[in-house]
Amino acid sequence: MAELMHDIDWAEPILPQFRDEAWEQEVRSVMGRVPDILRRTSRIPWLRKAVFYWPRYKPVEFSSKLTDICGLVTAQENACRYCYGVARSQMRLYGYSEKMIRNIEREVQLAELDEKERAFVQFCRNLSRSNPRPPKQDRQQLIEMGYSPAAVAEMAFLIGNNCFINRVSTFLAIPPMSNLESLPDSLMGRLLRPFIARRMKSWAWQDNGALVGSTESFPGVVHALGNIPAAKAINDTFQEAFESDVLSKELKVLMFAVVARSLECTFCESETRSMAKNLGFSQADFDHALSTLSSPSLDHDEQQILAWTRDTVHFQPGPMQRRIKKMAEDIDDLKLLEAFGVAALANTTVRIAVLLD
Amino acid sequence: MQWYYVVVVLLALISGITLFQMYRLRRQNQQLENLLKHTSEKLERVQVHFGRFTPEEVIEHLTEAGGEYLANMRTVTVLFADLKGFTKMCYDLEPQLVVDILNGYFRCMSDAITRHHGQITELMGDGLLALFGALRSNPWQVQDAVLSAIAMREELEKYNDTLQERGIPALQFGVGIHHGDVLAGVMGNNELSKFGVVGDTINMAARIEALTRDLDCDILISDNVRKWLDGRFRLKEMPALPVKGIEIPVVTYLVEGLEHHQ
Repeated sequence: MAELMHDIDWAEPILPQFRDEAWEQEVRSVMGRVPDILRRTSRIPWLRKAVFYWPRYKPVEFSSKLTDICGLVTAQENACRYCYGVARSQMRLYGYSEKMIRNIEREVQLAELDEKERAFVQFCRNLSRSNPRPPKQDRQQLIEMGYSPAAVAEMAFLIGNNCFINRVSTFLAIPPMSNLESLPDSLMGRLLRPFIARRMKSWAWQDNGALVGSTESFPGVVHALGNIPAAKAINDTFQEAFESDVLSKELKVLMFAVVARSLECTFCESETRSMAKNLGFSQADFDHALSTLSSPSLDHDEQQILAWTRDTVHFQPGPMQRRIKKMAEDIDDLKLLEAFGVAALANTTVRIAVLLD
Repeated sequence: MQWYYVVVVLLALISGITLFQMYRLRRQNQQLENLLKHTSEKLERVQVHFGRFTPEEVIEHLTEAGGEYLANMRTVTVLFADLKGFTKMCYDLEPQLVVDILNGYFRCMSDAITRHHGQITELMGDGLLALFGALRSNPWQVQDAVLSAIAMREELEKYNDTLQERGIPALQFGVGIHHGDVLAGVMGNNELSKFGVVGDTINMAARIEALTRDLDCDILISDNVRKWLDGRFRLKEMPALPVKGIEIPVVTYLVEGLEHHQ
């Protein structure tokens, strides 16, 4: 359920910052500064890369206006205080009026948007919420309204992408960027708004390189994205996430399976079933692990992470952060950090798989 | 020259009135916008609070203009709990103390239930009805309900320790769990309505709970629940007993605990 920004219950950061000079140099060369979230995720290379690149993803199939709106709507739906503040401030700096933003947040019918754009906002809400996941007819409706199938696929990725960042930020309880939030109303913000907006827009990222390596990590989802650059973005992240050895591959596959079962995604569940088989799970082992949310192939920390994964599908930030704080007393920071990334990636993937079911 | 002054004064007057009207309209507009903002914020908060008791889809339907939520069948797991011998206790203790004891009991039970993804939908005297899988689809609803009952047992033990320290007799409860289809919808009339569930599954859970008195035990589950449980749960088959509305005696299982306590 969407909440108002200042009503969101938000904890103190869960994990500490970590300084990696080479990484910070890379970030600074693009953004001129290093945001807090990129320090707190810097110990897991695949995660920090996704957190750095994905939010700047520039769609090829629709306008930047929809991208901006999507950031706002998903942050609101996922009640991510950090992302909500960033999305709102960015929109103000890009020139959207406070009134329009408020209307999108509260009553899209009043916002200065056309029917197609309103339908997109509704799709953003339904897919981020996924309670239940939007039916096939919702996508069909978007296509009938004039969006191309590739645009709808890219929308699903964009929403999933935002859900990913919302989750990582919430699990880490990244502090809201108060400087950025106050900028649009400050004198400097008003005077320099066009320059700041141009600078922020110049950070947009698009990787047009060809898909390389195996697409076996989650072939169906990658293929569903067709030829849009998002396919490569997600495929690279899958591969790097599964290659990372902080958490076992067994746990990662089971985490994906748990999210798939929670969201009743038969496609993803069967995908994870075959991935588990390749890791040596028998059919019975896999079913047992899924029904009990535990497996003998996981250690004590990983059992806890697997049980927690089901709660990453629908949650309220405050209780979720308090629970993670408790888990952090037992589980090593590095493992926990990778778990945040895998859970967020699983939620993204299963939401994108709405294109297949 | 006089007409010139008249025109100037008239023009100034018209401009003044126009500016004043514009100012008034702007103020009115601002007031209306503030009112809209305030009302939307209130509605949003109501929706968020309401969301703790009612599925989001129902709220969405009801808050849309002319919205109506069509009742539908859902598969849920129902947990029914009741205190044994509490009515007698009510006569022996001070009324305020009885209310305090009951509130403390509900607090403990509610904690155990929500921790296991359940939702208390009714408090009836010293009884409570909790649902699992009603607010959103939950593939682990049966295990959740049974784990919740085990947690309730533990919570009750702890609560009884605190009661006994205060010289108050220990409480005893009975819990019945059943799994099946229910009719979910918004029930009531214009004066009083709420999201609720009805059906035999609810009645059956209440009847299974009543069997805990005949069988002198605390947590009983139906065979329908047992079928969904994995090997973690230590169960004991109890003698089949007749229950109201069912022709053949009903087999129930006592939940003794977990095989490997988790």
